[in-house]
Amino acid sequence: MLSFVPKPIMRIALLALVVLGFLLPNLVEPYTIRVAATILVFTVFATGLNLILGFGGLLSFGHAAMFGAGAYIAARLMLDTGMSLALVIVCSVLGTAVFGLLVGITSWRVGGDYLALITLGAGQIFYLYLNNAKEVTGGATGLPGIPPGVFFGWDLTAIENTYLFILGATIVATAFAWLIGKSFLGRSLLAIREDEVIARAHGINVPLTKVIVFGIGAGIAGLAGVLQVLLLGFVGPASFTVDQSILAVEIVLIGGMATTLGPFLGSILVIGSTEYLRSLADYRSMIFGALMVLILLWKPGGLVQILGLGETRASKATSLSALLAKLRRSGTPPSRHSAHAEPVTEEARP
Amino acid sequence: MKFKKAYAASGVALALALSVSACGSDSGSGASGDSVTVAVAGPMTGDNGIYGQDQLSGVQFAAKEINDAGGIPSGPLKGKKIKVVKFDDVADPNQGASVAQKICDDSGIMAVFGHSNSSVTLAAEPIYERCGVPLFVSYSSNPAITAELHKNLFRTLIDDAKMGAEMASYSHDQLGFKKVGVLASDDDYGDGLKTNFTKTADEIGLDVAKAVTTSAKQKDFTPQLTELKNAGADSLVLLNTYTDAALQIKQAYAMGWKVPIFVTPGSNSPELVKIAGDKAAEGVIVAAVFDPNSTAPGPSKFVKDFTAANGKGPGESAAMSYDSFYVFLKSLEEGADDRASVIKKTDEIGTFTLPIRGELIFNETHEPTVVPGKPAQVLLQVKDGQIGSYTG
Repeated sequence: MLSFVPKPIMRIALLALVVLGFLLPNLVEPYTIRVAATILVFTVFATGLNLILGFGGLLSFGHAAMFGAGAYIAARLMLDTGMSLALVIVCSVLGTAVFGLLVGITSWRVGGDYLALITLGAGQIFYLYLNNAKEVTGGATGLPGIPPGVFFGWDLTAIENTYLFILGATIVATAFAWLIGKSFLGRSLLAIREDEVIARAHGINVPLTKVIVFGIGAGIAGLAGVLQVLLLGFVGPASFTVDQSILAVEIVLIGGMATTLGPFLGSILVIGSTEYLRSLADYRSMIFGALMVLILLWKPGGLVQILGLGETRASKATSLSALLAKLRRSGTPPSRHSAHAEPVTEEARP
Repeated sequence: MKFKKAYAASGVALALALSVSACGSDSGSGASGDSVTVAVAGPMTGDNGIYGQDQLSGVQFAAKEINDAGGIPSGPLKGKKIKVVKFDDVADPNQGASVAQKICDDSGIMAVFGHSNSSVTLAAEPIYERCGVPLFVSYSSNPAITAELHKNLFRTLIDDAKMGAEMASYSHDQLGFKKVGVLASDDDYGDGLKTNFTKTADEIGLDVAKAVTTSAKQKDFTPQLTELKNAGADSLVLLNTYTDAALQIKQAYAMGWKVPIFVTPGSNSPELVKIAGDKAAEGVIVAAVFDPNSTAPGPSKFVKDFTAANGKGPGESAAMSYDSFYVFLKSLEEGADDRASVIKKTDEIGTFTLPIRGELIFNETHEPTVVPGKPAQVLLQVKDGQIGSYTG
């Protein structure tokens, strides 16, 4: 749609958007700032999933657990220790990344539908843990009254400051994801997503790459969790249900898989609509479901492709079934190939 | 090319829709000269929608009564009409927070009634507190809400801890249960009740055969019911809201398991009987904060007028929010005329006489003081498809 606009102008427009982002607190009332902050939190959340799903083609339905792990670690640290916010962020991100690596290890042997089921299970286990480990997580009530953060002397009590901090963090997370996408790791992931066998033939360590991206994606979701705590001052299990994982998948698919701006655009549409189109409440899931199917069928690059914003490295698959088949194939356990290989070696033996 | 045009068109349409709705949402603001605006915030859509709508109908009914009688009866705002606006939090803490912010920003709104789910109230409260909006909580019963004093928050309902304890005493003393089977939902309501029910049961020597937690969105409870039946329970206590309880009653009946069933104030709604069916619900005992069959003048007038105005009887949350509105009204009559003075006056007055509940005294953390020997709940029982008085 906007692809006719010359690149330099697009760059200036992007820069203007960032500047506008920083000026927002002076322009609008706190409600809009809060909505914008929520959109940014979900942008970071989806950025983590975009690496796993968008680049790696690994369908994860447990991403809310990563989001929640980051949020609960941060909440616990802020309630119990006088730790500085910077340190809280480091602990939460690393802690969540380790959690993500553990979940990611399951992708060593399985993929596709099976991986989706395992991550769904991991998400559900985490949710039940939140509900039942009362001493740690506060159970179904959650943890209220989390004090506002102070970042190197900068008091984040006011919503304007919280927003600016979240905006900064979002830019850092997006830039980091962009770098990953450009790096060897990003390209390896795209190769794995498109054809695992060929990727393997080119010397890419497929299982290790998958586990690493799970760790990185989880770490970024953990950061989103910290931001969520800063924004709400409260965590409860209701925010980390399977529904939230599906919401993140929606954001990635609608925004555009394997794009830099996809999570942001998807988040604007999905989260923004919950706020501004409340009257549609019950129809929203239906609309987004239909939108996801349409996007997968015709515009796998999502909003980024539709709006013509930058390159899309979404799967070249032109139909939903082809894409799903590809997702499934990418997850075929390595054992199948060895099973194919075995008879050959036996034949070769005599 | 065809597709590109279609996308462009749909994009423009969406942008238009967004901007239109953004403008539309502002129209609720602004206190015009002759009215006082209050907000009701709660889940208006989704699984919990009925609770928000019930609260809304309670507050709307109170406002209608006052407006029909010529506006606020006395005080500095005498004669002004009450205007009620609603906000939907979809039972989601994130959206509850943004609803709270929206209400804060709108200086025309003087007070808020809500929210319903305790987790949403906990997430929204700090925002109201920071901008000084009085918050009247009539249906979130988690103890954490009033664990410490929030100056702007007034809860007109006792918490889960007391409700759970009282239900255990009732089971043991009045109902004569020997070995209870407990089913609790896995949210903060069910969990809080379960903890305190089993704790008190332990203290007073009531035998709990088994306490089982069910999960959200579960619709078939037969496995858990069978588990309790096999554990030898002679009675069933359902610590959840009517959406779960009604199905459990229905399924226990279908199993042919006939035991006395005891449900919470969250199940005190005509919907309970409607979903469970008359036959299955017959004889179910309800712990209620609000007795719709009370012959006392306040409640009976409320039930009669509310039913006439709405075409159906009031649920528990409608009655509770109706009552909490009179706390707010009293503060206006005593001289409050803005957000800050409503908080100050309500705190100063401390003791209220409410149409349904009668006397209410706020304690130091702004929740109702429990009078020893006077339980906050009464027992009701389903008879011929109606929730009537308990006859044993």
